[in-house]
Amino acid sequence: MSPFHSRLSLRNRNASSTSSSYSPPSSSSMSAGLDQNAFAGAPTAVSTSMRGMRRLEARRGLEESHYLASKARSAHLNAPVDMHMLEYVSNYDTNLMCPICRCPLVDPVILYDCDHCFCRDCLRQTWTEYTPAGPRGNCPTCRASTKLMGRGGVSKILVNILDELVVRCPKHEEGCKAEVKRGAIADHVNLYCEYAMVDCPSQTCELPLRRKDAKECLHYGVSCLDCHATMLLANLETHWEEECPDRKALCQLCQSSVNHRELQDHVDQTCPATSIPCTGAEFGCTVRSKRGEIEKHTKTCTLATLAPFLEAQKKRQDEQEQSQKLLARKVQILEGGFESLQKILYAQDPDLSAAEPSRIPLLEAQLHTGNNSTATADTDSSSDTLHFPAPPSNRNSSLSTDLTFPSFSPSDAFAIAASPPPQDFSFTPPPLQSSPFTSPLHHLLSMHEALRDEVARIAAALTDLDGRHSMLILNENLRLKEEMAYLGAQVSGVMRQVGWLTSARLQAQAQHSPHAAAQTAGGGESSQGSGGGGGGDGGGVQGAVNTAATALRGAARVVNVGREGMGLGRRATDEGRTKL
Amino acid sequence: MSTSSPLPRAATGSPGGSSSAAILLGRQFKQMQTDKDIPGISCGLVDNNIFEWEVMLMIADDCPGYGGGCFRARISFPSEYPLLPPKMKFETPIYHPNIYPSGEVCISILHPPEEDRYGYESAAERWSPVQTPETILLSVISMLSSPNDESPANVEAGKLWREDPKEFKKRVRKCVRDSQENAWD
Ligand SMILES: [Zn+2]
Ligand SMILES: [Zn+2]
Ligand SMILES: [Zn+2]
Ligand SMILES: [Zn+2]
Ligand SMILES: [Zn+2]
Ligand SMILES: [Zn+2]
Ligand SMILES: [Zn+2]
Repeated sequence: MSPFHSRLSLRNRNASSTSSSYSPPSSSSMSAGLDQNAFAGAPTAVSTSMRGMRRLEARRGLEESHYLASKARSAHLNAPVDMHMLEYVSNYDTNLMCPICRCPLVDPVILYDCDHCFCRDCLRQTWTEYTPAGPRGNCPTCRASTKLMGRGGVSKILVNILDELVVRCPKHEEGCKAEVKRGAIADHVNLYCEYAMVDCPSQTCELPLRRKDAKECLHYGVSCLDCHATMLLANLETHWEEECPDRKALCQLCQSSVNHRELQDHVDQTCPATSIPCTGAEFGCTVRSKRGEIEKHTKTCTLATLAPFLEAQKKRQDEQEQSQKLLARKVQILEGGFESLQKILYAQDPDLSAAEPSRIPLLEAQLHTGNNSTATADTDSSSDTLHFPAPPSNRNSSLSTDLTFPSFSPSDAFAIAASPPPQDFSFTPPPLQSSPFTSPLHHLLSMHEALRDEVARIAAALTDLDGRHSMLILNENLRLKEEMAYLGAQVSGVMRQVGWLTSARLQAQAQHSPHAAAQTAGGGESSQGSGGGGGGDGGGVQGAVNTAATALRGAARVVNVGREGMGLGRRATDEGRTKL
Repeated sequence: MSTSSPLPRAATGSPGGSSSAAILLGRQFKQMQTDKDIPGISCGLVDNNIFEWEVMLMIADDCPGYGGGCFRARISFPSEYPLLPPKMKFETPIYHPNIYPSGEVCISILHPPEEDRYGYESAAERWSPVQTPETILLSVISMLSSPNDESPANVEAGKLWREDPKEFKKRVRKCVRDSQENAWD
């Protein structure tokens, strides 16, 4: 082991204990590089004498302090590297991504309860509440209530992988081409980056300077040769490169002098000496010539002459393709809409699904005979064909024959109303067939429109049918009520007759029985007997009359019920009418 | 920094600024445009501003009610994104219990977690910084087919949805049809 080596490790320990909390693992290699640079000229075989060691120690201490000081100064002059803004050169696994900022984890923390991982800063900004026991909160990913795992929770492997990712120097916009490992980026900016700011080497000057310029103080006024503006020498380069309005540059091709900043544009667009392809190159001409001389060629080149037309054609083709795509999408949507329409149409009345193909033309025809009449008018006119026979005068007619009204079948009724012969089910309604269409799109749109109208009409027809149906039911109901009332009256009549017959019978019995009693009791008390008999007779009549009265009342109740029912029926009918 | 005037800011790979929110949004925008897994969603920027997205939702036909609809919406991200949720607003008129008549979407994942003005919402349903524009759009699409009865942003639509589903469906179909016709304007 050379002392050089041991010195390194010692130095590293010091560095990691004293330097900032951010300690990249690769700092060892970094500092090794530094040392090698510093000792490039030093003899490798260092004498092992104590004196030499001590001298080295002293020198190392000096260097250490210099290293830290320059680092601190540099950190003061350059904004700290924002690790979230770095541009990554190497591809990285998406598992290394923080779910909040969606870039590779920076100073990762792991949550105690769910093991989810975030950048420390990202989580700090999310968890705004602090508890005495430390930060607590809900995991942004799984929402579990949890806390941070200690520093030891993050695997060294993860940190190493993250620090190995290669990033572009944050000063790349200023011109630094460096691509370094992420773990070393802070050191790159603070110690090596040529475009980072450092103190001016002059003891008296306080102004900062780019590291690459820091050989002498550049902070004195100069004036630009071209525009004669006055500025610090340190800024001259930037001015010269990007700002000077008067700086001219010589075009290498045409030897003309152009504005320095416009040189590139000149070469690309206007320089007559640049070699450019024929305008017909896209269509097959392989000729290249100087911009100034291309005219000569274009005059004779067929492809160049055709180029504008071909260009226009191509453009039109692209446009057409684009609109075709749109149309395809539109057709798809319309088809979808049409399918759902069909579904609605066929699902609404499963009973009629057998008569499917003829249904729509029939309905349409029926509605057309209504001659654009309003829905109510239509109801009126069709209620004639569907008119239900008036309540039958023949009371004896059986109910079952009356109930044959379902012989009203919609298709029949429509067949009557449909004067034009039913056509085949076509999706193009008649009024639309005649008018020409400017484009298939319009055709489709109008077809869609027509279908929509049709659905609306069918819906109207359905509600109409529904109304008629309930009307029929109510009519029938009414008639049944009347029938019942009639029956009730008849029952009461029968009751009355029965009552009368019973009372007559009872009377006859009563007249008969006292006679027999008087015969068995003897004739002595005949007057009394007859008197008692008369009393018994009277009681019997009374009983008969009572039963008759009860029977009558019962009959009356039946009749009343019948009336009530009728009344109800009528009211319901009225309601039905108003509804229709 | 030197005393010279600052360099013209070069594009940082994401249009419209260089804050961390802008960088994140730029990354998510690029992802959305290249992602082939999310059919029916296309997005663009309003005035090349990364904080204003315009999205076109083409609802799949199997979505009950809104299937086949083409709805244009705008998502506005705050500068605090992703700590605070964006706002989403439909530009195409859309009839839905959870969408205000103005088009603004009222969905729990767009409500910041600390704000509890809708007391019923558990924090579990609200905004979390791991949500992405993609998850927001997917939630909105699923909201279309299953409205949340508890927070009717459009009270009339909510009432109709509860009490007269037939009429509600009719209104929805109408807005879907209108959206289809306006989709190519
Ligand atoms: Zn993060
Ligand atoms: Zn979690
Ligand atoms: Zn650099
Ligand atoms: Zn100086
Ligand atoms: Zn100048
Ligand atoms: Zn030139
Ligand atoms: Zn040519």
